[in-house]
Amino acid sequence: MDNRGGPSESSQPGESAKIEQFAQLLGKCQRQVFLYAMRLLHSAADAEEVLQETNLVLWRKFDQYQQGTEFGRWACGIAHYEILKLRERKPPAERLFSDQFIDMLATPTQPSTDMLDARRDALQHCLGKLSAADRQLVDARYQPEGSTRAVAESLGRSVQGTRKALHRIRLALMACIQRTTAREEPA
Amino acid sequence: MSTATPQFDELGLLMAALCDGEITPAEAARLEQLATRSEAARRYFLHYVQLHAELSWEGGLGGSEAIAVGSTKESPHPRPLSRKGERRVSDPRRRLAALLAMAAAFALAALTLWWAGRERRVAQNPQPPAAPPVVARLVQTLDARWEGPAAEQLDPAGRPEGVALHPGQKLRLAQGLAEIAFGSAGTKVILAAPASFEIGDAAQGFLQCGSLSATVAHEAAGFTIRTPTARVVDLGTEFAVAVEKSGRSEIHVFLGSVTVEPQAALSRQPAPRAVLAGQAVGVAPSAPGKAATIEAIAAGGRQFVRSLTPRVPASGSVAQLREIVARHPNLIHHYTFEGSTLEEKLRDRRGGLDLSEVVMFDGRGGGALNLAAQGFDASTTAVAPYRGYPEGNSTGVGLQSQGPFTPPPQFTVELLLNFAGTPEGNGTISVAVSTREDDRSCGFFVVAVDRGQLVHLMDGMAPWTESDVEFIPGQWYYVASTFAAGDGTTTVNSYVANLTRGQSKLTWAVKNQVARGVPAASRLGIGKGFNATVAHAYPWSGALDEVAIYNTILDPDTLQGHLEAILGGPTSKGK
Repeated sequence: MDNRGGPSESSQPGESAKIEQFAQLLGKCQRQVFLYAMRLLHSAADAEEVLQETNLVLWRKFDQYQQGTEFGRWACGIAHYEILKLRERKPPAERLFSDQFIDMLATPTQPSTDMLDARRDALQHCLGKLSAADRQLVDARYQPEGSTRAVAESLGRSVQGTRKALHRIRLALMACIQRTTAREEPA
Repeated sequence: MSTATPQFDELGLLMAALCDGEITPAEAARLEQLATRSEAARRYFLHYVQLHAELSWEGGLGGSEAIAVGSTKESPHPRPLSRKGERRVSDPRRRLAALLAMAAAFALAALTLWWAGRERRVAQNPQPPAAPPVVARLVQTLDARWEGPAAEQLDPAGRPEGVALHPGQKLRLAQGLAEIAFGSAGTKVILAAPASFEIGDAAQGFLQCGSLSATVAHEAAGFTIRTPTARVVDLGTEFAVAVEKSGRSEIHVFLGSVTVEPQAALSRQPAPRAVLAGQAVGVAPSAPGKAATIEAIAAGGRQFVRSLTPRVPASGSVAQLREIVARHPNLIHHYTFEGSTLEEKLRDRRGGLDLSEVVMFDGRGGGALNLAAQGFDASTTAVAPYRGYPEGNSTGVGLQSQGPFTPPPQFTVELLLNFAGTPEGNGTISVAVSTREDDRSCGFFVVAVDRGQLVHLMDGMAPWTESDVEFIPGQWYYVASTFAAGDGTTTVNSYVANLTRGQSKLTWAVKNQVARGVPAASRLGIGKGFNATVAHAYPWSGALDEVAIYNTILDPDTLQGHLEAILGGPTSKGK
């Protein structure tokens, strides 16, 4: 049996514990992997495809996971490879950015899980401070199947105008998140 | 710095178009240009995308309870939809449930296979399958004598080359050496007698006693050697294992890294331990009721055979090359990595441009540079920069000159290199010799990308030069590259020979390729490069030796002479 097709023979007696551990680790890293894929692909659909492929590879390679190390970091390493494969499958015209640029985006230190959690809390806080109209716009844009174009059409506004409004809201959220997380950082 | 500054108005609006999936290729090119202008712009880009990603994942947070669930079962491999009709992300909770179902399905399949195998073993079925899978083959042997029931099969008519090996097959080597190739990815094991070894599958084997060395291609990372006391999992590397009669195991790592997991009672299983290049550990059998222990031991305390390739004639050596190079009148920098102290090893023998250790911008990742790495032959010591995993491009330790290096208008970079491969494969950049001034102006003089392709680069925004050379992991190469800077371009030539295979003629691998840009002046990186912000990055995976820089373009005959100084040959006196 090829041990890269799943847990190896020698690990079978503890199989249920291994599955449970895998499921726990997998669940905790999903958001981290998705955010990492988005950083390089900028498309939620592409990022989700990478996430799904990564999950399969994580399972196949779970025997190689070094216990005690950060699972999310390992998962992002595998996701990186899946991202490159996805880019290779795309026609050149759809790749948008150069390989060097993607490489540059990949190199910054990945945020820790704690940092991601802190940002999530900050985002919740900052969304709560938006005006009702702005909040409605964000919710509509980021609803399932939502898009700026669909939101514009439903509101009877121009796509450009709606895009600018969303851009303004994103800038406000970025500034708010930055202020909030800076306050929470230890001195 | 606030992320919402007016200076990023154009960048921001292009980001908004990107997030809407409606950016045009021309706008994307402009966006890339803007985002790479400064560190602040790059951070703005990353923060903007991160917010977009977080909102996409959470579905706006406030509306998460009401989110409709998007199907993820459209296809086993759903294709991305067009950017104008971007598919939405499904509910994270539903996704996790699907994942658990997936995990359970895989587990069931694995369990079924395991039980099937177990029943076969219990029944001790004397009739093996008619056509057992071939998972490994004998490559060559040296003075080998096999014992046991399979002895004749392993040496049919004295021609063992290519003999097929199957899962569960036991090999008892009473004398000599045997080289075994696993799978199709280039994984090689050299078994040294006396040894008892069992083939597992294309990715694993069991060493009952004796010793072996293993060279594993990066795409075969995960290759596993089990012993009575340990499980050694390769991460794309070269390592050796010895098992004593007591069952005590020693693991020595030459390149890359492995994880070692003691085989003990599950309830007392210690955590696996990473063993890095230049390190060695011992794993003793666990006493009843006690945990097995891993102890660090002296590396190099045991000799392993790492190659059955016929060695070079005695007339040549790396030391002979070193002598010839040292006498060359156009030599301006010479790093031999010889000496008994750190200062000596990092000294520039010609130009006074000494080296220091530097850590990649993402940190060490738990590893260290090895200044006592095994070179091509016994006459030399090499340096093995440390490259981390999985973020190898940004994690590790390399070397950098203490002062600036100004590339002459025409110059030659010559070195010996051993590429260890990278577990990540495509997208990886391993830099042997480099400079970088800013995001564009650089001098990536000798680089291995992806699976080990030799490339060069003078402009961070330009494509790599191309070559057909792909370094085989674990093998030593002689490489010489020449650079002639012109008006905004550089003409590059590269000459390569595989030393491990005894290739006595240089291959002209890069022929008069014109690279955009001219070599940048900066600190000189050895075993590392620089990213767009000129931070330490792209550590070399493997070992380097005898780095020499000349302020002229050495002609092919001279370079051929240098090669023959190593391998021996008609012009081994050099020029």
